[in-house]
Order: sequence, then structure tokens, then C-alpha cells
Amino acid sequence: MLKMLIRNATYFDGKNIVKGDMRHGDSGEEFDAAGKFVFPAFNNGHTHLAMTLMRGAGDGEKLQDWLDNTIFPMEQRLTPDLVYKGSMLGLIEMIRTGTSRFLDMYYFVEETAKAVEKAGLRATLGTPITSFGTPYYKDAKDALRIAERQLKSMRAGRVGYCVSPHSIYLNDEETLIKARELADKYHVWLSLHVSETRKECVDCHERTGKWPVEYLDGIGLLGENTVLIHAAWLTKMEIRLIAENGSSVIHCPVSNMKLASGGVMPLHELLDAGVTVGLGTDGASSNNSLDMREEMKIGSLLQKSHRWDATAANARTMFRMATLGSTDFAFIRLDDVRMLPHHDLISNLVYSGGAVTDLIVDGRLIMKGGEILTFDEEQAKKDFEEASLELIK
Amino acid sequence: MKIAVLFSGGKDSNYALFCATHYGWDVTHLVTAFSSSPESYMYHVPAIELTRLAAESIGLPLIEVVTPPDPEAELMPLRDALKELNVDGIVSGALASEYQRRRLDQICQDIGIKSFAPLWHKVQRDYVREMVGEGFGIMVTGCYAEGLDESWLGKILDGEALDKLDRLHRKYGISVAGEGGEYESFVAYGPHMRRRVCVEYEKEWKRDSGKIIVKNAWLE
Repeated sequence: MLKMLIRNATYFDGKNIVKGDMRHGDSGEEFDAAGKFVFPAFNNGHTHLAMTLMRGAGDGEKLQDWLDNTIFPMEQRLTPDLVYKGSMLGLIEMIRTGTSRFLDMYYFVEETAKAVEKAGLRATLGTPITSFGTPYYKDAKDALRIAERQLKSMRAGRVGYCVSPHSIYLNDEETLIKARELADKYHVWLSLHVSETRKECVDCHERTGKWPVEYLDGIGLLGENTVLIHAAWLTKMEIRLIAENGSSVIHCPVSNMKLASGGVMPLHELLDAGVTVGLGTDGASSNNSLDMREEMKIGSLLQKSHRWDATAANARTMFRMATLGSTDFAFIRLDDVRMLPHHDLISNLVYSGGAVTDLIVDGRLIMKGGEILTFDEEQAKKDFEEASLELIK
Repeated sequence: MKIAVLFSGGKDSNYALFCATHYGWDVTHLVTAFSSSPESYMYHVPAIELTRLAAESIGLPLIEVVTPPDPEAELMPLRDALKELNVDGIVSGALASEYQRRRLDQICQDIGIKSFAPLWHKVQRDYVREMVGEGFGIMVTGCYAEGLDESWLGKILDGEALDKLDRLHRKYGISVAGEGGEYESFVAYGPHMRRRVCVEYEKEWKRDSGKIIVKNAWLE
């Protein structure tokens, strides 16, 4: 089968920057990458895509006030149409910043799936299962039923599903265990928020006598398909449990800092223990962007500052975390002012960035020369603006 | 990251320890400094004898360092003790005292280790309230400010006591976290401890300040 030919590429082969032609995907198309740096497109390990609708709302409030007064009331007014339009805007931002794949947790999953199919990106989507009802489902049982319906409908392709109990504080033990069983039955990821705040940790400890990850291990939630999101407050015992179970962790440094979680995911302790660590933006309401270039830079700076160590979280480490499992390509002009000079292109990409000009996903050009090819960007933005106004009515 | 926590048994060092542990760092030692002076320049003298029980409850080895009364030489034994521990850094409960932090930073610089202060410049009122809300049992062991009378001695801070401290802050300007030395504290229990430290004490009150005199202490 013919593969897509990317000619005249300057790319990172995992060790060095090299030049030459690359084969990719099975479309048979050709793309001239002369004068451009080609890198694996980003994999955003955690987001709530349609929360673009809430970007900036209630900004600067304390976490609980922000959730209670702004986010939860807005989410009670969500509709499938709003989620679709919010997702489309999020996808524009992802395409324009070089992300081709993401792990999502949000309501009305079918709408986000439709948007991802249209945009041509890849996603693994999960319904945030909570014990309380939402406009999407009545209760946790209903949410699990919806999640199973999605899993049953799953076909090979760019859009897949996972099981996403929200957290230990919004789910009872029975639901968490059922979520685990569901993820195992369909061989998919089990993703959940954990140890994001000190309060979550001490509440869990008071209730169960265990720290959150220790608790999850005790009820059999940790496995090779478990993706722990945030993990901002971890003890070394919990790090060991994550490693022993082969679970993965997604670091969301910008969101943790913006919401003043206070904790800092122990990146080097986790990596030293052999844990796979990815990078995520979290939703656009707590970041407030979906830009993985910013996430790499700020994540690196956070670790260096936190540990008083300039060697911590170096550019290549952050780059690897941001592109885990990537099979797609993004392009930045080599003469972009923020990519000059060329002493270290990975360092430039992580710390100074540059405008993404092209994106190839699954052997297909999604953006070429700054123009999105798969849908009408201006119309999607117009639809989004109307949707965001509808949400604050 | 191997860490020694400077530990007095008071609320700040306990919370700094809690943070360090939940940063995923390898806390290998608690280090406590007993001043041989009745008027310590940096360390919490009242109730410091309880730190051994607290360390036992936490489950970490306690290194005890006796410091001389001379303020210039006070930190030398601490520096020497830290050097022996083979740690990458220390964690202290420094909140806002430039004097305390600068001197700790200096001795760490001298021996080539890092000096972390997770509570540095945090909003003190919020942080004490969070500690109480998170289940730390903060006992007042000494009172040294106008507005804090004998009734505060031995009190475990709760919501009502924190409201009173807020009122005293508005009236007298005292720090709710006791950063200016308004009160001394001891953490008798918390989520990081396996057993509660029980204390039998008498109150010693002189004119406008006082402290508890520990008569008996044990782990529950």
C-alpha cells in the first residue's frame, strides 16, 4: 500500500535532528516540508474539550466557589448542541497548536465524537461518571449504562471510548468498581482524577484510613489500563503502588497552578519508578488554553522551580510526555522567529514555540499553510460564539 | 529527593512535613533543635520535649541537636548535623520570617543542599484554617500577646477559636498563624500521625504571658 510522502523534512528521529523524506500513513498523498520542522503531533492526555464554552467565566475565584457559583450551574444548562459547538472550537485550537490526539472526559460524548470525526483528529472519549445527575444522565448507574453503550458501538478508527469515573469524591466505591469492570470487559482505558487537592487527600484518609491512590489500589482500581489524572499530592508509597500496577499518570501543571492546588506532581520520582507520565491541559476553563506547547514549557519551569534544579524536566523529557504514542505530524517553519537560531530545535519548540502551520493526522492533511481543510473554521467560530452566549443566559 | 524536615512539633513544621511527604519526596529524618538558652532566638522552646512522641507517632527517626545560646553560633550544630544526614535538602515551616529563612538558606548553601519552605508567604489565615479543616489537632502551648489570655493555654484550635483569633487580629493586629511569636503550638494529632499524643499539663501564667508545663505525655 502507498504511504504518504513527506519530502524535504527536518525532523527529530528520537535522538538527533535529521533531514530527508519521510513516509507516513497510507493516503498516497505528497507533502513538501521544505523549510519546516516536523515533529510528532501532541497528545493531550487530559481535557474536557467543550469547556471552551466556559473559558474565562468566574476567573480568579477560589476553586470551590468557582465550581459552585460558575461551572456547576453552567453545566446544568448544557445541551448536545452546545457541547458540539464547544468541541468544535476546542478542535480548532488543538489543530492550530499542533495537537492531533486527546483523552477527553465530558458530557454528551456522542457530540464530541461527531466533532472529532468531522475535524479529522483522534480522540478517546469518556463520560464523566458522577453520583449526582446531570443533563446527560440521571445518576451513576445511568452514566455507566451510557458508557457501556458507547463501548459497544466502538469501531476501529480515530475515535474511541474509555471509562471515566470522575473521582473518588464524586463516586461511591460500588460505582468505581463497576467502572473498573466495564473498562476491563472492553479492554479500554479507565481514567479518573485523583489527588488534585489536599482536601481530597485528607478527606479520603479520614474516611478510609488510606491516601487516595492507596485507597484505589485497595479496591482494585489500579491496573495497566488505569490513567490517573493530576496526582498532584502523592506519597512515595503511592508512587510505588502506581509503578507496581503499571498505571499511568497525566500531569496537568497549568491547571494545578491556576487552581492553586498547591501540590506538584513528583515527576522525577514517578519517572525513576518507571511510570509512564503524559501531559494534559485540563479543560479550557481552568488553564485557560488547550495549547500543549505552553503545557510543556510551564510544566518544565514548575519542576525546576519546585525542585531548585535547572536540570529537572528538561526539554526532551517534556517533549516525550507531550507526544506519547503520537503517530501524526505537526509542522513549524524553521525561520519562525521563535525557532531561530537552530542550536536546539526541541528546546526552541518547548521554551519559545512557534506557529504551527500544518498538521497531518492519519495520513491526511488537516491543516495546510495555516488553513484548516476539514471544516469551515469561521462558521465554527460564529456558531461557538452564539453557543457561549446561550450558556450564560 | 531525600529530605530532612526541621521539626519542632508545632503547626508550621508539621504542615511543612505533610507537604514534603505529599510531594512524593523521601523524608528520611526529622531534625529538632533544643536551645540551651531559655530565650530561644529561632526555636520553639515550650513543649519541645513532646517532639519525640510526635516523631514516634509519625514514624520517622528524630535527630536531636542542642544549640548554644550565642545567636551567631546557634546554627552551627544544626549545620553539622544536617551535613551528616546525606540528604538533598531540608524542608522548614518558615512562613514569613526573613531572619529565620535567610539563615537556614545560608547553612544549606554552606553544605551544598537545598532549603525548601512550602509555606513561605502563604495566606496565613487560610492556611491555619485549612489545617484545622484537614484534621490537624493544633494545641496552644504558649501565649505571648495582648488578647491571648490564660484560657487559650491547652486549647485545641477549632472553628470557634479561629473566629476569636480573627477578632483579636482586627483588634490587636496579632497574626492568626502566630508568626510574630504571639502563640506557640503543638500538633497532637493529624492525618500524618498514627497515634494521638496525649498531654497532661499545668498552666504557668505570669502577668500577660504563659505556657503549659507538661506533666505527663504519652501516645494513645
